[in-house]
Amino acid sequence: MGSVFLPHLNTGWHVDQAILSESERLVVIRFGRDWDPVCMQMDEMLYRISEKVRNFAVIYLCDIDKVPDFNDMYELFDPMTLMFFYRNKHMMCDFGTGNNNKLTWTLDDKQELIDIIETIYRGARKGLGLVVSPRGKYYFVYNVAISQLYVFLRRHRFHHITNALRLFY
Amino acid sequence: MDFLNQSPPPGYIPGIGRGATGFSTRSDIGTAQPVADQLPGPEGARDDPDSTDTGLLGTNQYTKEDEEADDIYKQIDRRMETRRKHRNKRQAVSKPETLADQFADLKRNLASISDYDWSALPEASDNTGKNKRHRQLLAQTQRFYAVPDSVVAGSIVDTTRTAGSIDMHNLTEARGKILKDSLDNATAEINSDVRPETVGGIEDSDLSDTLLQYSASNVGDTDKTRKLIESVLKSNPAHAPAWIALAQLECSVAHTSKAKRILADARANCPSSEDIWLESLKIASKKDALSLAREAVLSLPKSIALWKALVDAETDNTSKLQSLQSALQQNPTSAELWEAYADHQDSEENTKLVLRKSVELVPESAHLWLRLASLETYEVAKSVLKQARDHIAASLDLWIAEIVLDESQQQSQDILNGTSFSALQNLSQQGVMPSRKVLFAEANKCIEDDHKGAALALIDGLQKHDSTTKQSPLTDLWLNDYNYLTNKGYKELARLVLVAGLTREESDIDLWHELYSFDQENSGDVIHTLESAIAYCPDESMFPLMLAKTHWANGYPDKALEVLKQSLGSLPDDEDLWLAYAKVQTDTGALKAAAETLKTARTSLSTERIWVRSVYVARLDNDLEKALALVQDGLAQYPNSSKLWLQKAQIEESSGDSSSATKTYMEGTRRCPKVAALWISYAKFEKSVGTVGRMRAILDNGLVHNRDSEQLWYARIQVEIAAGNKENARNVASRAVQASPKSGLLLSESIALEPRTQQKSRLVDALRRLDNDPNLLCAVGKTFFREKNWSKAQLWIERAVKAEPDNGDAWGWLNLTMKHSPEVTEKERTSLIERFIKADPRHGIIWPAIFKDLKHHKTPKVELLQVLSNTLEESNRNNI
Repeated sequence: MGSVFLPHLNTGWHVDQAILSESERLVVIRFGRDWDPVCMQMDEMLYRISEKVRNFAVIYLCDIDKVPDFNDMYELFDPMTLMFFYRNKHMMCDFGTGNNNKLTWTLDDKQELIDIIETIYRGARKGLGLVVSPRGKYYFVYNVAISQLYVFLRRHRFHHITNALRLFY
Repeated sequence: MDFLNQSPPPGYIPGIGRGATGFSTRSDIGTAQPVADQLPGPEGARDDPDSTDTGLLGTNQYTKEDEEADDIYKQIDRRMETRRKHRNKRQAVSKPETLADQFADLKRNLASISDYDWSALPEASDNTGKNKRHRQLLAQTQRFYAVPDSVVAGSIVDTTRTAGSIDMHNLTEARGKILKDSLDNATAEINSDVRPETVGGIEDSDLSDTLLQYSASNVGDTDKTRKLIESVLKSNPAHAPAWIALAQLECSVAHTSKAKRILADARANCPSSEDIWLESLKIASKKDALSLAREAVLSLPKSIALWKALVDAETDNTSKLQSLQSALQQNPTSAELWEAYADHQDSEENTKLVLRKSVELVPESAHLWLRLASLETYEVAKSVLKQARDHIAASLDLWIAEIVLDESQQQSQDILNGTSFSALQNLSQQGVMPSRKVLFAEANKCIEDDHKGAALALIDGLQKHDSTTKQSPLTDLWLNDYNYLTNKGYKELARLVLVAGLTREESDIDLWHELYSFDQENSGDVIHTLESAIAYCPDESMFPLMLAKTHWANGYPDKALEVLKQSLGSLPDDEDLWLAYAKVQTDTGALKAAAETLKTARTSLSTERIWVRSVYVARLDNDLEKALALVQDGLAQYPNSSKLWLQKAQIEESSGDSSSATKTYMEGTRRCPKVAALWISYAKFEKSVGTVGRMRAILDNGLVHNRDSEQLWYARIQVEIAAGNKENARNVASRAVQASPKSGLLLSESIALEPRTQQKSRLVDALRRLDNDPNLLCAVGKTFFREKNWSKAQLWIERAVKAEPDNGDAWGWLNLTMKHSPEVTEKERTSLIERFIKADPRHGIIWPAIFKDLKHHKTPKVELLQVLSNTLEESNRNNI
C-alpha cells in the first residue's frame, strides 16, 4: 500500500539525483520489487513513518528490476534492501548482523525504524561513516543464510517458525 | 524534488556519475565485482569541473581559498595526530600491568614442571548438590504415616474377641490401646534403667504411669495429663498409683505445696498404701519428715520400707536405735532390719551380739551369717559358717567365704583346693551346682579383692569336679573357658585356668601353647613358660624352636643354639630342629659350621628341605662348585624338587653358564610344571639373555600348566608393561582377571592399567566384590599416593597392612607414604618400624626378591625396608 504513496526512482539518474540533491537530510532508499510481500510490508512501515522523519530523512523506493544499475555495485540480491545516504556518502550501520552496508529484513515496530534512521542521521551529522544501531537484537540474522531463511519463512507465512528463530537467535 | 519529473541525460552512467564506488562484502552470493574494473574513466568523469553530472551541489570550483583551507585542516590533523600519539604513549606508561603480565613469570616457570607432577595433579571433586541430596535424604527418613484402619480393626479383635460387628466404643478403645503401646515403647527406652518395674508392671498402675511418663516427655501437655489423671481419680479414688502420678506431675512443674495437699488427700483415701506414704516422705521437708514417718509406721507397722524411712529421718543414733528396736518388735524376721540394727551399733561387741541374735531368728539369711563370720576369730568363724551351712544348704557364697577365710589364715593351696572341690561336690549333690559363668564371676571377684589363692582354688575345684563328672576331652573344655575369659577381659583369671589345667594335664601341648601365647601377649615370663613346657613335653619340637627363637630375638644366639642342641639330643630325627640350628648358625655368620651341621643332618635324615638349605648355605659361602655338587646330589635323590632345580639354575646363572642354565630351566619346568616360581625365574633369566618374545612364550607355557596362578599372570602383565605395550598389557590383564576372578592382585593390576579417571570407581566396585582384599586396599592407597594425598594414602595402606601383615610390599608403601607425609611424626615412624619387625612379612611381589637376595643376606630388615620403598617409588615413577 505504501508503495503507492512513496516516491519511486525510475532510473539510475534519478537515484543519483535523489542522493545528491539532499544536503541536510538523510536519503533512505528501499531497493526491491513492489509486488514482493517483504517489500510491501516494509513499504507500509516506511510510508507510516515518512511524515514523522520528514525533517531529517527522505524516503524513496527503487525497483531493482527496472533499475538494475546498482544491483552489482550494492550487491542487491535480497528481496528487500534498505540503504542510507548522506551528502553523497553511503552510510553504514552496525546492526550486529555482520553486514553493515544495508538493512535487509522487515521491521515490525515503527519506532524501531525511526530510531535507526535517526541514529544514522545523527552519526552522519557528526561526520561518522559507520554508526551502531540503537537496538542490538538483529544478531538473529547474523549472516546472509540466516537472513534468507528468515525472509523465506516470512514470505511463506511461517510465523511460528520465524518467531522461534527470532527467539533462538 | 523537481528532478523526479525530469528525464535523465543521455549516456549517463548511474552511480559512477555521482562518484559512488560501491562495495564488496566478498560474500559468495551474487556476482559482486569492483565497479572500477567494469567501467572506464571514472576519474575523468569526476575531475571535470564543468560537468553538471556532479549533481546539484557540484557547481563549486576548487579555488585557492579551498586549497588554503585544506592546508589548515591538514595542519590541524597533523597536530591532533601528534597529540594523540603523546597521549597514547603516556597511557602506555602509566597503565597498570594486566593480570596476565603479573603471572608471566609463574607461567614461564610452568615449563620446568615434570610430566610426573602434571599427571599427579589432583582431580576436582564433585561438591555440587551435596546439601541437596542430604536434604532429600532427611526428608525421606522423616516421613510419617497414619495408622491404617486394618491395624485398628486387628486390635479390636485382640481386645474383645468379637469380630464381625463394628462397635464405636471398641474402636475408640482400640485406638487408645495403640496410642498407649506406642507411648510405652517410646518411654520404655528412656526409662527402662530408672524404673524397670513400670514397663512390665502391675496392670493397675499401667495407665497412670504411662500418663506420667507421657507428661514427663511432653512438657507442654501437663494440663491435659492432669485432667486425665483427675478423671481417673474421680471414678476410682482408691487408686493409689494415680494419686502418686498426680503428685509427681505437680512436683515436675514445681508445685510442691500442691503435691503435698494431693498426697494428704491420697492418704485419707487409701490409708493402706505404702507407696503413698513413701512418696509423701520423699516430698516432705526434713522437719515434717520425722513426724510424717512416725505417723506412717503407726498406720502401717508391718512395712519395712517405712521403718527404714523413719530410721533415715531420725537424726541422732540413739533414737535411730530405738526406732529400729520397735521396728524389730513388729517385724522380728526381717533380715534387712536386723542388718540395719547391727550397722547402727556403737561397738563391735554389740554388733556381734546383735548378729548372733539375728541369725537365731533369721537363720535363712546368708548375708547375716557372712557378716557374723567376718567379725569372729578364725576358729569361731569356721564353726559359724558350718552352722550357717546347716541352715542354708545351697549357698556358694558361704563356701567361698570359707575358702577366703582359709586363705587369710595362710592355709596351703591344697587345702583350699580341697575345700573348693568338696564345696562343688556338695552343691552338685544338692542339685544346685552353679554355672561356670557364675563361678568365674565369683573367682574374678576374689581376684579383685586380692584373694588369688581362693580364685585358683575355685578354678581348681571346678576342674577337678570336671574330671570326675565329664568324659569329654577336658582340655577342650578348659580352652573354651580360657577363650571365654580372655574375651571378657579377665586376663589374670584366664591364666589361672591354664595354670590349673596344666597341673592336671601336664603334657597337654595345646594348653602349653596357649599359656605361651598368653605370656607373649602380656609380656610375661615367656622363657620360663617355654622351659617348663619343654620339660613336660620332651617329645614336642615346637617348644624348643619357640624358645630358640625367643633367645635369638633377645640377642642370645648362643643360648638358642644350646637349646636346639639339647633338643636335638632327644629328638635327633626332627627336621625343623636341624634347620633351625643351621639357620641360627648361618645368621650369626658361622657358615662353615652351618654347612657342617647340615652335613651331619644329611647323614641321619636327608629330606628335601635339608638339601635345599645345604645348597643355600654353600651359595652364601660363595662356594659355587660345592653348591653345584650338592644340588646334583640332591636332585639325584629328589628329582622332582622344584626348589633344587631353581637353585641349580641360579647357580649356573651366577657362574655365567647360560647354556646349562637354560637346560636346567627346561628340565626343571618339565619335571615340575606346576611351580610358578620356576617359570617366572626362567622368564627373568631369558630377559637377561634373550628377547621379550621368549619371555612371553615361556610365561604362556607356564600358564598352560597353571591356569589360575596369580604370580604367573602378574609376571605376564609385567612383561607387557615393561615392553611398553599398554594395549597388550590391558588385554593380558583382562584375561588374567577372568582366569582367577578372586585375585585382588590381578584385579588391582588391571585397574591400574585403565584411564586414571575411572580407576577410583572401579576400585570401589572391586572392593565391594572381593570383600576388602588387601591388594585392592593397597591399590586405593597408591592412587591417593599418586595424587599426593598423603594422609588418605596412609589410611588406606594402613588398612591393607592390617588386613594382611604378611605382605611386605604394603609395608614398603606405608613406609614410603610416611616418608613423604609432612604430618607424620618421628615417633610414628619408629613405631612403624617396630611393627614391621614384629610382623616380619615374608610375602608380596617385590619384597621377597629383596629379602631373599643373597647380597642382602646380612643387611638388617629396616634397611631392606628402605630399599623396598625406594624400589617402589622408582617403579611408581616409571609407571606414570
